[in-house]
Amino acid sequence: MKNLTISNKVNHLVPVLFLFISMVFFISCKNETIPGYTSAFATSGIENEIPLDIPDSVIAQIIAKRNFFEDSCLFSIPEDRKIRIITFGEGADYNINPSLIESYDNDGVEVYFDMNNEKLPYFNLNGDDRQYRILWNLLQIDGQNIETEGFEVKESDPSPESYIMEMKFPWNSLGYIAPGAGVKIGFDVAVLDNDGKTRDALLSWYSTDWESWNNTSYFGTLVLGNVYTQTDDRNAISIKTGNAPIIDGKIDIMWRNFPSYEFKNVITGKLESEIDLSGYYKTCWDNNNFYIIVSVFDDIKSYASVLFDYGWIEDLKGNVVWKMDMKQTKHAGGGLKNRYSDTTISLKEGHYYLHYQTDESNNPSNWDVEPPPTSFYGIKLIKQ
Amino acid sequence: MKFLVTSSLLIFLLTPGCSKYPKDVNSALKQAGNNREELETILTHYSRNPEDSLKLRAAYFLIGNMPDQYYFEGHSLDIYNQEILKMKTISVEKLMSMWDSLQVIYGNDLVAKRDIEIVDSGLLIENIEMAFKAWKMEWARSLKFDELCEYILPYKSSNEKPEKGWRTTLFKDYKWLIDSIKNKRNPLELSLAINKEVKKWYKLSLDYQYPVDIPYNMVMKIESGSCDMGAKMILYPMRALGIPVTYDYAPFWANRGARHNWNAIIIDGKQKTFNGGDNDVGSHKIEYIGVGRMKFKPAKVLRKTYSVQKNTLPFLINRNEEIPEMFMNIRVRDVTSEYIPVSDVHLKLDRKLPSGSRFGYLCTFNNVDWQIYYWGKQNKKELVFKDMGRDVAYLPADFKDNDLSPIGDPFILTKDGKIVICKANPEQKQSVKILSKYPEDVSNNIFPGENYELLYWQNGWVSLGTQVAKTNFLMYENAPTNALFWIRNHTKGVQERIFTYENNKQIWW
Repeated sequence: MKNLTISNKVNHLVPVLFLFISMVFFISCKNETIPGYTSAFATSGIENEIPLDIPDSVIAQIIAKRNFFEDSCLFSIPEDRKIRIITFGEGADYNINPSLIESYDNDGVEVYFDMNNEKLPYFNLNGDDRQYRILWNLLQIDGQNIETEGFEVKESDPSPESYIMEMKFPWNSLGYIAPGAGVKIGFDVAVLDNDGKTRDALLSWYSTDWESWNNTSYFGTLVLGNVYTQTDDRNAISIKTGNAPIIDGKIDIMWRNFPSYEFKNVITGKLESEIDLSGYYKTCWDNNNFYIIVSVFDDIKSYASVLFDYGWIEDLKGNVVWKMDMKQTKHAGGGLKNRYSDTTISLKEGHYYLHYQTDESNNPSNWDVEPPPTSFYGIKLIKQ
Repeated sequence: MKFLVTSSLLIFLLTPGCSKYPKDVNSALKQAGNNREELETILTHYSRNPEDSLKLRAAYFLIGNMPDQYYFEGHSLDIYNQEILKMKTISVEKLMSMWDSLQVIYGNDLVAKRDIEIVDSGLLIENIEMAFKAWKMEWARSLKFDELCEYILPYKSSNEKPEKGWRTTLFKDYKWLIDSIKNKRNPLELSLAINKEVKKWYKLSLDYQYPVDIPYNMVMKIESGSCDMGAKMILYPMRALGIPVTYDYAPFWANRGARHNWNAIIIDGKQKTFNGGDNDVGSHKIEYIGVGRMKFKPAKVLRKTYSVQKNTLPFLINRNEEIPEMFMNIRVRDVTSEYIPVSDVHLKLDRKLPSGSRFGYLCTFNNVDWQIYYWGKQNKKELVFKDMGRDVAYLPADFKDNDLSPIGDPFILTKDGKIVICKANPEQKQSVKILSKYPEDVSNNIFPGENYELLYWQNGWVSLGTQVAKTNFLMYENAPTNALFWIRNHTKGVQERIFTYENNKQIWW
């Protein structure tokens, strides 16, 4: 065996040292803050999960470099095989960026109050009219003229096709009236259905017109009472309780004592059946709070999301065989709307088109949030 | 003698107009009337010290472009403002009904007053001094002088009455935010912080519009307003802190009615858009309006400027050429190509325009009718429209006696810049299946029992007859090929859109 001389040792060490220094330099560069940009939103610090080291066994790729970019390329699969798809893009849902998604595009429940029961043909935004919209799963609260001090909501999902929301509204927050037997309040409850896309349907208890958000004359009437006496179907009776419900999103035994009111009116959309969307609500009250529990049957529980920059694959007939799905993406680093997905699919032997497109902003030509740490932006197909 | 003549000639040539000020400043001073002395005070103030040469140029910019700057005044407006300032709680309904009542009492008593006749030296000097102070901020230092002039220096945002001292006040009010930001080289973080602070007191209210362009102090009192009010209002605090910010707008949407405006921060020559008092940079899109909704397409994006733009239509027309009032604005710059893909549209003219004008127009459809969108100039036997937004349906038109008349077939300017003419061919028929009247939610589907009418364009809208829907679609068997269609619901609703019919599908424009 040849003994290594010092010079040989140095010679062997040099490439190792060089590699070490390069790695240190490379890692430092990757972790360096990109100058000139600032987070619009908090970053998640999950850069380690992002496929920064994108392999070279690339079947096809499209790199997007500007606004309103659209490109396609034809690629071939010589035999049935698995393909890894790495895509970087831009997207949003109500949780990531509520400014880019309307709350009413999500599944959820709406509760309307006209506290003085004036039933005026407009919505008094600075007065006694209130509209609360609570989103399924996110439990984000939106609406008009809402007061949320003391407001509580909890949700449970008894099955994949149903959910229950239970709410408490302090009378002090609702304002304008002192609760008591015989008091009447303009009232309605509605359920929003998304069905995985955008607003698909709106179902209500009383109103038959979607202008309720703008016109309290469409509301029904909630009558506060001590006992249940249903004399007029236009009214919902709310009975005083001495046993306030625990706000946990579950139908406690105490709720059995109160009448239920079904969502009868399809305001917009078309329902396939009761399984598509249906439900009921119950209410009660005490001197401090108004309580409501809403039970919803919804065959596709979902929330709205959108992709602005994304890729997809079509076969030669134009059928989409894969498309980037916002719900399958993760945060790509930088602003929260920077997204990436890393999925594997099976493709049959044949020819396909790879597509990618960007919209008006936030891409390598003009970031409007802190950019992702990877320089790659587009779509890449890799042999598995 | 020869020397005297030469010297005199040289002096004459080197002193244009025999004045020490640039031509536009001289012209402004002449128009200032009794206020000339005030304006000259400013110029003298900055002429004394050579170190103030840039401030002198800034003064030239403001004064030279001042002659057509105006604001509105009137007894009704004075009372309106006084009452607003007295109010403890303000409601939009109250404000709107109060103005309606004042109009009944006073009529339209608003008159335009010229800034050039009232702006005093104190106002402009404070404005210039504070603008230059803001220019020294770390995020503003890289701005060129021209950018300072347009994006930071103006003493007001639009046609409101000039206010004195707003820069000093707002600089003091918002200065604390500077300490809160990490990246001081980039104005973006500070702009986000300012908009966040403004949103604490300003609420978007689409119903309310102040009767004229609103001064900043009144916005702060009302605390609510339209997106237009918000976009003009935000210029004040941002410019006070040296953030280069613009007011940009689409005069109309090309594929629906209404217009829209927004703000843009200019960083390295590129715009980052947002809505003052509403959506921040990073949370703002112009075209996207919501999940599943048809994108809002602008065919033009314009930028309000302080300076007069000599390439605007009023500078190009002859005395006898009539132009639509919407193009009378001389303080607007076309920035469409900075926002969206554009193409120049060349339309062949086989004869002169009926109006005799050298200018023609492209119209877009606003769900009810064709409306003029932008102008183009005749160049030999072509009408040339520069930088028009793509993926839009246009109709070329002439304008005379305050009315437009079509001068050609509608066409689509496609995404890749091609022109596809929609010349209806009634000789060649096709079956058209109509599934909806507007490309958005299910409420625009075809509903049994409702009364519909399909029309196509051929020098006007030609009806293919009405139908009461029996099911969730309509069939029209004898529709022309290559046409632009419009499906109308005579029973209910207002959303109706034009479309072409390709590969058995309605393609919306």
